[in-house]
Amino acid sequence: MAHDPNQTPDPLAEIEAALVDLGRAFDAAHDDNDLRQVTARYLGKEGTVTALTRRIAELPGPARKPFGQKLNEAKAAVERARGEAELRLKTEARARDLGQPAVDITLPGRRPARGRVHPIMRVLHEVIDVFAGLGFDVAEGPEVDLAVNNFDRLGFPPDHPAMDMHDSFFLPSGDPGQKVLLRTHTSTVQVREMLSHPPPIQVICPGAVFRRDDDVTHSPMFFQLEGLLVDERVTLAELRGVLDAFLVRLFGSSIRTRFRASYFPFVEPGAELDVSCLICGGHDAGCRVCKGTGWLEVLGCGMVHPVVFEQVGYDPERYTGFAFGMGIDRLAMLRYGVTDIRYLYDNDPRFLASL
Amino acid sequence: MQVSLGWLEELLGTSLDLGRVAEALTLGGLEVEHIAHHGAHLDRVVVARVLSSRAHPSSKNPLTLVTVDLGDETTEVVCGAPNVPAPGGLVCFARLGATVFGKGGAPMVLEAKPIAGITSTGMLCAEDELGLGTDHHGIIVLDGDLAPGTPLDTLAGMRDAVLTLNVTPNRGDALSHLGVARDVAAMLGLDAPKLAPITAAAGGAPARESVAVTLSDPRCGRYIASVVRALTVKPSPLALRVRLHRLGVRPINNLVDVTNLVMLETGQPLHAFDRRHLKGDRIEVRAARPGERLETLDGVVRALDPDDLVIADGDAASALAGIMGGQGSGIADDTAEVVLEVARFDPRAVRKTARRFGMHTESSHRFERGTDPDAIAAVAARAAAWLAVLGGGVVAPDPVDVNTVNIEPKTVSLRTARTEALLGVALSAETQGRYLARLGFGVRAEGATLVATVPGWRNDVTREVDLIEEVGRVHGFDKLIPVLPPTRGARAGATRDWHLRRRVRETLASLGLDEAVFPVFVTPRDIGALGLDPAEAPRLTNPLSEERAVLRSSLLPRLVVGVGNARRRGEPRVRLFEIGAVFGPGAPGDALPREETRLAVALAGPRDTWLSKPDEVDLFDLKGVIEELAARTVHGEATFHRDGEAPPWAHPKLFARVRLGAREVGAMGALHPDVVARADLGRTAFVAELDLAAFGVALGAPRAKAPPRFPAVRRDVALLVNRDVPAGQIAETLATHAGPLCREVKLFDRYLGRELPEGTHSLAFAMTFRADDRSLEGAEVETLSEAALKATRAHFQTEQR
Repeated sequence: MAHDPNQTPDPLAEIEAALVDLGRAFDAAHDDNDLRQVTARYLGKEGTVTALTRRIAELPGPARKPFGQKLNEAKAAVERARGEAELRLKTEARARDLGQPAVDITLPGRRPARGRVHPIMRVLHEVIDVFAGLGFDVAEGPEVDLAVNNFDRLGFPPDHPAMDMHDSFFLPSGDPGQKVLLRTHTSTVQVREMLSHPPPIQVICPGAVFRRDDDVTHSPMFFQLEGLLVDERVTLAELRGVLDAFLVRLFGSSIRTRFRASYFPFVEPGAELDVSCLICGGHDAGCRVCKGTGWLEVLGCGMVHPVVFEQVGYDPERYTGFAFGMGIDRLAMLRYGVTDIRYLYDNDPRFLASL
Repeated sequence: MQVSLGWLEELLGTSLDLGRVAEALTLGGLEVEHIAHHGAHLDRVVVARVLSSRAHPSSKNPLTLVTVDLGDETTEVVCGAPNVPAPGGLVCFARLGATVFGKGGAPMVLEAKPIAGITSTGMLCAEDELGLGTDHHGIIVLDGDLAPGTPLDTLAGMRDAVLTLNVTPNRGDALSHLGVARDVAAMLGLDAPKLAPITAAAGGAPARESVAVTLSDPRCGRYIASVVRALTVKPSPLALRVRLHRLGVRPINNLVDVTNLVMLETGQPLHAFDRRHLKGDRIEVRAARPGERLETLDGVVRALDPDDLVIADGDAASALAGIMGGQGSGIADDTAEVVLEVARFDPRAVRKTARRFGMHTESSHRFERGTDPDAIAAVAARAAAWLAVLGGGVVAPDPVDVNTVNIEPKTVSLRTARTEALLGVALSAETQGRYLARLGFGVRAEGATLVATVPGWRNDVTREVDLIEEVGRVHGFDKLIPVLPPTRGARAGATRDWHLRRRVRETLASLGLDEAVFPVFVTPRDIGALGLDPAEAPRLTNPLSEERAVLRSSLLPRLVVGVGNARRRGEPRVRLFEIGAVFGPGAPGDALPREETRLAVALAGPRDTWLSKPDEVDLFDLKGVIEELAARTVHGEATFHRDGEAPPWAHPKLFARVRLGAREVGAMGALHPDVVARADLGRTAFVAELDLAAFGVALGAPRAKAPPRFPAVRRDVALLVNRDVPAGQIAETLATHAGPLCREVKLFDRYLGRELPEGTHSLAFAMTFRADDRSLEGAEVETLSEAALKATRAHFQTEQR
């Protein structure tokens, strides 16, 4: 508002006049933007109160002080009105927010696409984590290996019925003196590990293995994890200790285990460790998973045969060791309720997505 | 191996608790896989005495009405069998409500039903109708003195349990009831089993008058030919027939049944020849002659070679040694004189021939696993006596016994302290000795060492550790107290890229991809479909089928088949990856093929969106996955270039090669239209194959940066650019010419509007400026970005929009 020098109005009255609409102006504000505009009408560059401020210089000395005081009061009144309006708006906004119709929570969430590690690998990771916690390191070797690593160095008797369980796929060899095959077990890695350095050895050997079987319960390729601990004074009781600890950590402390004699050419004594049925707990004579026996065979194991130590150049008088092995496919099938091993290798996206 | 509990009880002379026996066997290494209970259903079947019989008065079928004494009552029953015995004969009468078996073997409950107008209160039964065998020629006629009305299940041998054992290949000794009984005795602390003696008539000319034996091949070390004369062939007694039937062996006649019973009892296979068919009254064990042929009992004519061991008479081969007899030399219905073979054959020779012919018999199974050399003479005598008893014959004295290889008893020493060192349980020397003795070992103590004489049936025991296992078995592995061993902290020596693979796998899953695990076997056709050379893929010498004849040389062929399968199953959205070994020709002189770990990725189908426009994935979804993978797994930056030719499977305009640092790691692209057609995919897919070893080399750790102390200033510039100018080059030029204070140039928008000049698009870049030591002034940023824009104008004729 420009100053008219021809008038001699009462400057204090002018201030009051400027504030006449103050309450109504702020009451009309509906949002933050309105608030800013209304505030600017008074206190902005072109605001009425701001314009009056410039008048101080024109006033005679004695009038300046009361005018200044009155101006400050006016400014404070604007700020107060703005504060009240702000509070009112916030209260209204809060009421609106809380008063809105309830959300339709049945609308789908915006899920990031989910991918899955293959069930075999998931179980393998779990198993490896447990053994890592027990001090085992991971050793690995090639899937195609020399027959000597798969059989001879493990003390497999040639032309023996023990070979029936290891029907192998052979490949042409680049060296006429060496037979080459797809490994039938990851014991090849145990051999390589022992050839690579002297004891102590404490490794697990996961990986794909291959046997010439193909039916509802056998895939020609499947996954195994074997373990090996070699040092002075390693015992069968320790083997059981490790395997019990493993099974309890994998399946929980409610399981029971059973340790019984068995046979594998590269261990002596040889044993198998059974776990109480994970489905029926041994309480259902009609259980299809354990066939009513109450037990599931999960681990083959034993003390490393002295013949194996002789083959890899360890002194069997000085060192003892244990080895164990398990089928990862079977664990995965138990873990996830997979009813047909072929699903595991068919990789139908609908199957993978179910897990 | 099927084992009758009743037979074990006979051998051990005591009754046994089935549960304890099964547990002892399983824990001791002879795992019980199944238990079948037999005979309980015979409680409503009774012994009946025939009082009289008459023909059915009206039926056209030959039916008989038989009056039988059931002990407490007399009844008349209709019977269709041709062999109703004379009055006084004993038959089996199933009462109404009894379980009987139909023609297909299905059990049913016997109900009153009129036959030819007459309703009986029961039925006279044949073997198959009572589940006791397969014979249906006539009703069972019982021997002996049995009281009418006696329930059949109370007769000897009728109630039994048959245990199916999983006998491991080392335990040839457990392929017999005697061997299993030995384990039961050792585990349960019972007396060792004994065979009940059999006494038979003996006399006449010595056996050598009937047959001469020559061993011409070292693979047969001992051969006993017993001779039994004046035999009559007939069915075996019911109890024996039932026993054989339940143990999975078909009863034939008394003579053949004896050979099977003795084998099941002692584990020693036997073979019976009809003496009439042994030309020249002689037996020669020899290698087959080149070109020689033999028709075996299964009716197959086998072409033999000198690797095969045969039993021959004066003329020709009449049996495959230890595997199967020949057609025509065995027992016939009118056989009266039998030459019974009990021999020892080399396990490997038997195995070799059996495998070559794909034959697997009860006999070969046992010979392959080794028979007891010490028991041969006793088995021969027992079998001959049993033959004579069941066939009403006479055993010829002095069986022919040719022994060319003497087998000395083995002794093995056990330092008793080694047992604790290996098993982790302290057992006194005395206890260990007792355990071994229970298993039949002869044991002598020499200080702390036990010298054990190995019984003939335990050919698997050859060294100290085997004795320790035996001690452990008897003690019970399950009784060992579990102990956790101390951690050795030894690092693996044979290592690959396990941790990297795991990291890659988990990263890709977190990016929304599913992991596939395909078998390594592929068909050459699928490799060819991708334009790759099938000859590069190593071929198996003995594949399961041509479909699975080679090892994959790339992960892509199988993954692309997987994409096709998904589409055919109505699942267009594919987000798959696989990590696995691929194979190729090995270096010259290397025995093994080349083997490396790769990663393959396939993306196809719609993008995952909700409430926004549906869209298909494209090459930049794949590129983003690879970039993100590199960043997350090895903290490196993947770069993409087009140097060189496209891989054969890739679209020539939609592909890139991938680098990590300075290393080539593989390629990615849309599938070539020809590949899409050959693989019958319908629409394209975006695939990549990368070498994971290169990822391993690039593996780095992220470097921490302190948060900047001064704010950054962002300048956005939109440039009108010819579309053939790579956006990456413009960004690089902007970055270079804006100087070191420009920290980042990022393309954030691309606009293709109709109003833009032909062949151009508008690219919007965000340039971020920041100094480490001060806040930048607007004017300074202005100058720097102007310089950068000027450079792009000069290089690429860009226009600012």
